[in-house]
Amino acid sequence: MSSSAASSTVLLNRILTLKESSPFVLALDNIGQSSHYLTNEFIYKIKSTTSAPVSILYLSYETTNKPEYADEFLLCLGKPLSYIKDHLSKKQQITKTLIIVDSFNYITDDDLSEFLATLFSPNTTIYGTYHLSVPTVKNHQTPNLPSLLTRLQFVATTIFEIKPILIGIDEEEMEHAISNFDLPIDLSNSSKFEVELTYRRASGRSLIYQFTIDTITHTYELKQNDSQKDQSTNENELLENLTTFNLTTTQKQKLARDQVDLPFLEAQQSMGSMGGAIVYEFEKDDDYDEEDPYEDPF
Amino acid sequence: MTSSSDLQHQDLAVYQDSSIVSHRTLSPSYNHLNLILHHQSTKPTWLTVALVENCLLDTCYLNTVKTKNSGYTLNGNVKSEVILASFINDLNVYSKQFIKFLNLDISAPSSPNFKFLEFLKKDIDRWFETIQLEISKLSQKTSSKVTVFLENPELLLFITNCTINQLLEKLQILNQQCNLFIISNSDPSLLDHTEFENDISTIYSTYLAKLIHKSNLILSLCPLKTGRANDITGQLKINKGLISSIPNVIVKEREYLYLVNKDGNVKLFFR
Repeated sequence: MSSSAASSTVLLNRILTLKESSPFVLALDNIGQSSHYLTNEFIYKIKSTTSAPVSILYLSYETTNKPEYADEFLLCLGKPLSYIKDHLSKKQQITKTLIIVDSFNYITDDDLSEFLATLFSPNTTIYGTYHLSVPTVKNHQTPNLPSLLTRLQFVATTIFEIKPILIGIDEEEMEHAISNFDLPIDLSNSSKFEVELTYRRASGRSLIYQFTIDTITHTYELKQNDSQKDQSTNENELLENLTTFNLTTTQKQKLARDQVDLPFLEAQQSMGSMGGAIVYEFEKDDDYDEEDPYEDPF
Repeated sequence: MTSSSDLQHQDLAVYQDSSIVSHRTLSPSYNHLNLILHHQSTKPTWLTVALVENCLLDTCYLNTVKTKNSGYTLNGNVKSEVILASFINDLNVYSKQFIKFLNLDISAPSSPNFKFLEFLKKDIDRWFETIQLEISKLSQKTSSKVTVFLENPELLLFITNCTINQLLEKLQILNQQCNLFIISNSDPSLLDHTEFENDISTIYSTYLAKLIHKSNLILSLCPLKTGRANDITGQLKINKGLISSIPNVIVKEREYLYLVNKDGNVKLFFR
């Protein structure tokens, strides 16, 4: 496995076990593949790997039955925002809390900012779903206001876009079936599905990976997208027979290259422990005069 | 070309244990929301009758093994108490069907295990309170779970001031007390939505999409994609819903072709 593949799976695992700092995780689903299975996987990972207790608050807009894993279950459909606010204000946040919002589609454009502001707090992760199959309508009173989905995508630190695995049917046919609420047999809402993970680092850089998630075996497989495959094939094709030298790399050489630890990674292990401080290590040939104030390398 | 006469008549089975309405779905710990979707040309009356029969008597007139309850009065023990509430059909429509297929008179006033409610002509503003009252009456009489069939409640979105979320909230309250089967139209002509909030198709598509996202089971009836045929009326698709229910209640996804002949008799065939 290449280092990038390993790090992407590690990242997914860290997000699902709440070890990665990501206060707002957004799942985008449609009727072809519901986020229900991803939610269950999320809960499985938290329960099986996280040693510190995580309190789970479930805000239900469309779920009738209280899930077993939820410590608290609030029926929010038809209730004002103050109902959730009151509940959260009474709650003492000693442990880490996961707030699950089963659907953002029930929140109005006007209420979204206040709703999110109510939920955000230190030590809390929000995980919510937005259904892409529900039609989006334009708010004609505030035509310049971005849609609910756009605003959610802007605020989210991690986005999972969930798709069914297509076998024997192309994407266009699936989209047509979904738009007509006509689900193909044995293809939709399976325990194995694809996700496109977008993780936004604090620096602003986004990492995008595609995975196949199997919620029965709890395994995640990095999916190399077609453009990446094409790129590597094209590079090899271009370099072949270009010169009398061999410019291409074999699979074995690629593997060896991936396994080389770059020197700066090792340096970070010893010196990175000093935090952000500048560490200067003297070498034997350094001529350092302790009495000369201008000699101080800092 | 295969015609229905060449195909073998099949039994209806919805769950992996070959049941139609599984006994496990009637456990008090989990309330199910099931959808019956249909097109304009594929009305689900025959399927509703079959499901009501299975809820009450644990039999199905569509299947080869059936017991015709001659003179059955719905006074004995039943699998689940049933309320059938319709916004588009009156009692006559279902009464004829039940007598024809089951020799069962549902119009008899003293049926402690079954109640037909119609909101076609009256009481439409009090539909929610009326159903709630009937559920509590039936629940008091027995310990088994009540199943409510609600036919085309989406009409409330267009003939009353009810919004989508208000309707869904009321359905959720009902679903907290019973298993729900909601019968709704999913004709493509109704789903051509726009970005306008008050557009009928937008309202309808939003309602249906939200409902599907809550469902545990979807049964859909639609015409053949290849066009009309003399020996096939349409197809019945069984899909699991978007929310999986309790363990061991597993929907067996499959597709049937069905024929409703001139006499109104129904036959199912595997696709």
